[in-house]
Amino acid sequence: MSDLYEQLRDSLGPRYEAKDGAARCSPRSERELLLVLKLVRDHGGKLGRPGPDGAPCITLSRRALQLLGPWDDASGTVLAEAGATLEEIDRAAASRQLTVGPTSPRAFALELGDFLEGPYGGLRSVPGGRLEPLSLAVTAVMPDGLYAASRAAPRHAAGPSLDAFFLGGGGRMGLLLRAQLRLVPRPSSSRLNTFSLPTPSAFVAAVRRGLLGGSCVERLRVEPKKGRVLMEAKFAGSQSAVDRDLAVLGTQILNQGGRLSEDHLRRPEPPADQPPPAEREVRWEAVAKALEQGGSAALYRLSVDGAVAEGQVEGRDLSAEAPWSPALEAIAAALDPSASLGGPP
Amino acid sequence: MTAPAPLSASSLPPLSALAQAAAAELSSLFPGRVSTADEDRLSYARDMWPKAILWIRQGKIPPPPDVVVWPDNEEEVQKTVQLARRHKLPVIPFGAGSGVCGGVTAVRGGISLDLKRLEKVEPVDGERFTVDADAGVLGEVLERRLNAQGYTLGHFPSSIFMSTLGGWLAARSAGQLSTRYGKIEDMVCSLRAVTGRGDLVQTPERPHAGPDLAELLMGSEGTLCVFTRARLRVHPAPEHRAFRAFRYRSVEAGVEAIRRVLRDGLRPAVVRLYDPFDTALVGRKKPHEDGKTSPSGRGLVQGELVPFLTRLVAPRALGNPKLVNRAADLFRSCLLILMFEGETRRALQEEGQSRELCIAAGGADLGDGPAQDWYRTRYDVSYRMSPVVDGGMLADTFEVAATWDKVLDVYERVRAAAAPLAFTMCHFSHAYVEGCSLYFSFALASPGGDRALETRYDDLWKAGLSAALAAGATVSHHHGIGLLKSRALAEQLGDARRMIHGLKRALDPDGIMNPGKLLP
Repeated sequence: MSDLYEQLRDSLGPRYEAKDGAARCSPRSERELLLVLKLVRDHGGKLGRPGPDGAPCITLSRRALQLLGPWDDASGTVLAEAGATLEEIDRAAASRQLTVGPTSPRAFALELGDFLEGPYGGLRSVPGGRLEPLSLAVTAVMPDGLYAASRAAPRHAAGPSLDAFFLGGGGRMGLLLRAQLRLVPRPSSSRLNTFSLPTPSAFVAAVRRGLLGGSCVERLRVEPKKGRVLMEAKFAGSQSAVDRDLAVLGTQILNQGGRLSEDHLRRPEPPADQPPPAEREVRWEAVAKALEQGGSAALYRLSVDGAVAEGQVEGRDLSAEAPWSPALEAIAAALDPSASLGGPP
Repeated sequence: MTAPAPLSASSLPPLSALAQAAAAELSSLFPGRVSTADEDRLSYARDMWPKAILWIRQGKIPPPPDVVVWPDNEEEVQKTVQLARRHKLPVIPFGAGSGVCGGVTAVRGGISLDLKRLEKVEPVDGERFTVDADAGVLGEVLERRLNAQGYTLGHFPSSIFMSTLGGWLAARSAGQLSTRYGKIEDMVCSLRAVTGRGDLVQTPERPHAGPDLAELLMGSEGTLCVFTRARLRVHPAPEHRAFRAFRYRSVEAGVEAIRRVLRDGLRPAVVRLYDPFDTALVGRKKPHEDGKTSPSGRGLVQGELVPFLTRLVAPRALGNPKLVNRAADLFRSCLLILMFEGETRRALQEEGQSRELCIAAGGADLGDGPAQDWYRTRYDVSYRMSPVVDGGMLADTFEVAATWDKVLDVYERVRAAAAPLAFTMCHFSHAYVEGCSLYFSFALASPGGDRALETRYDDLWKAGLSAALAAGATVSHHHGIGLLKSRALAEQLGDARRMIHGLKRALDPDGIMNPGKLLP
C-alpha cells in the first residue's frame, strides 16, 4: 500500500497531501483524476474508505474541475464540471437570466459532484409536486476506468436510467466528472405571504394539494402559534407565475379552513454570514408531528412526499451516508467487485 | 400480391424435455393455470410488432414460449421464477401484448408469465395521494377505479385499453397528458418486483439512502425482474379542461411556440404539433364531420394514411417513396393542439397566457374545435395491421426525444434518412421544459414481395435510428427497445453498456429473464 501513496505523491506533487491519517488527492485535471483512480485500482486501494489493514483513507477532491459550458440557451442547459459549486453555477447562469432553481441553503453551497452523488441525490422540486434531478445527463468514470455518458434527452424509454447509478450513489458505482444541467428561467419577481391554518394536518393537506395543483413554492417557514399553524410561503417566478402559484395554494389554504395572516413568524431567518444549519429530508407526517410538539421549521425542495427541512423535524440526515439496501449492495458489488470506489465503511 | 401462407400448429417447435418437466411441475403448483397448448404458445409468441405480423403473413411463427403460466399472486410469480431458475428456463413477463418492439418474443423459448390475474387495486390514500395497484391491472380499469373515487393517475397511453401497469413500468410508458403529469416513472413512489434471482424486492420510498433502485428497474423490459405491484401518485380529478389550437406556417415556428410555452413555466396537459402532411391528414375531415379525427400516429397511418395512399397511388408507388415524400412537401401549415386541465381558474389562466405566447410566435388561433376533436377521439388507435399487411404494405411508428436545440435537426435528418425507404410524417408531443418527443409515422411497400418488404423495413429502422442518434436524440421516448432497437441502444450507450451488464449480473445471474431483449 505504501507504493500507492508514493506513486500518488510522485504523480500529483503538491496536489497530494497526507494528514490526520488520510491521503487527500486534488487532481487539477480529468486526466489526473483518471490516473488517481487507476493507481488506486491497480494497488487494491479503496477510495473514500480506509484501506486494507487499517491503511489510511484516500479521499479525492474534484474542486479543480470547474469548467462551465457550452451553454444551450434554447433548452436552458449548461455542461458543468463536478467541482463547481451550485452557487458558482447559479452566479454564472444569472447573466443568461437562468438559475439552478430553488434549492436548500446547504445544497446551494455544495460542489456539483457532491450534490448529485451525495444524500441530496441531485434532486430539486418541479411543478406538480415532483422531484427531478438537476442533471439532464451525466458523464462518469466507471469502476473499470472507462467512461459512461448518458444522452441528454428530457425523458427516455431506453432501458434503465443510466444516471440512476450515479445520482445518490456516493461515487460507489462510478465517479461523476460532469453533468449537463437543466436550468430554469431566473425569477423576475418574488412574493412572501403569511397564512394561518387551524391544525398541522390542515397545513399538510393544503400544501400537498397546492403542490399537486401546480403551485411552485420556493420555501416555507412554519411554526405553531396560539393553537394554530403560522406559515410563510415564498413564491418566485414571472409575475404571472407568482400570481398563479399564490392563487392555487391560497385556494387550498382556504379550503382547509386557513386564511391570510398579518402575524410574523418568531423563527428568525438564518444569518447570511454563518454556515447554514443542518438539513434533513423529511416526510410531511414528521413535519405535522413536529408542529404538534411545538417545533418550527424552514422547508425547501417541496414535494408531495416531503421536503428538506431545517429545524426540529425528524428525518434523514443529509450530511451523512446511510446504509444501502441488499439489492443496491449486490449491484455495487457486481459493478465494482474490488470496491475500489469505496465499499461499506 | 401473394396470399398469406397458412399457419399450422405443427410449425411450432416441440417442447424440450426440460420444458416438459417444468410444465409438469408448474401444473402441479398451479393446476388449470398452465398451458403448453399450441394456440396459447402461438398467441404469446408476439406482441404488436409489425415485423412479427409480417412474419405471420409469411407463415413464419415468431419464436414461441414453451409454457404459458397465469399466476394469481406475487408469491406464485416468485415460485415460477425460482422454478425457472432451477431449470435454467427463460421467463418472459407478459402484460397485455400491446408492445410494438418485439419485447415478448421468446427467442429461447421458456415460460411466458402472464400477469393479468394480478389485478388488485387498493383504495386511494387520500392524505398522501397514492394508490397501490397490482402490475397486471389494465390501464383503463385502473383509471376508472381511480375516477370513481375522485382521482386520476394522469397516465393515458393510446393503448390504455390493452396495456397493463406492469407493461408501463417495464417499458417506461408515456401517456398523452405527460407534459402535466409526467411519464410513468414520474408517478412511481415505490415498486415491488421479483428479480431473476427469485428474490422479492421492494424499492424504498423517499427518504432513502443510495441510488433510486426503482429508476434502475424501470425500463428493463423483463430482463431483470417481473414487476408485481406499485405505489403510484394520484391527483384529484381535474375540475376543468381548456382547449386551444393554432396554425403555423412551418414546423420551426410551431416548435418554437411550444418551447416558449414550456420555458415560460406553463404546463399544458397535452401538446401536439403535427408536421404539414400529418396536419393535412388530421384536418382532412372537417371538425365534427362525423365526430372522429384520427388522434395518433399509429391510428393515422393505419386508419387514414394507408387507405388514403391506397386510393391516391397504388402501393407500388410506395416502392418509390421519394416521390410521395416530395409531393407531401407541398403541404405547408402545421396544427398545434394544446389542452390544460386542473383547477378551473388555473387551467383558464394558463390557457390564456399560452394563447398570447402562441400568437406572438406567429400562430393563427383556430379556437378550441380541433383540440376538442382530438380529445374526443384520443383512443382511436387502430391495431388493424393485418389488412395493411395484406395490402402489401407495412406501417410503423418511431418515437425519439431530444433537447430543443436538436429537435429540428433530428426531424430533418430522420426524414432525409427515411425518405428513400418509406413515406414519412411526424408529430411533436410529450413536451418538457428542455425538449420534446418526435413521433414519426412510416408507411412502406416493396414491389419485391414480402421478403423485400421485410428487408426494406429493417433498412428503414437502421437508417432512421442511426440518423436520430447522429443528431443527438435518444433511441426511444416511450415504446421501449425490445428486439427492434437493441443494437441502436447498444450504440447509444457505448461503454456504459457495462453498467447494464453489471445490473444484469446482480439481479439475473443466470440470464433467464427475457433473453435477447434490450441489449444484443
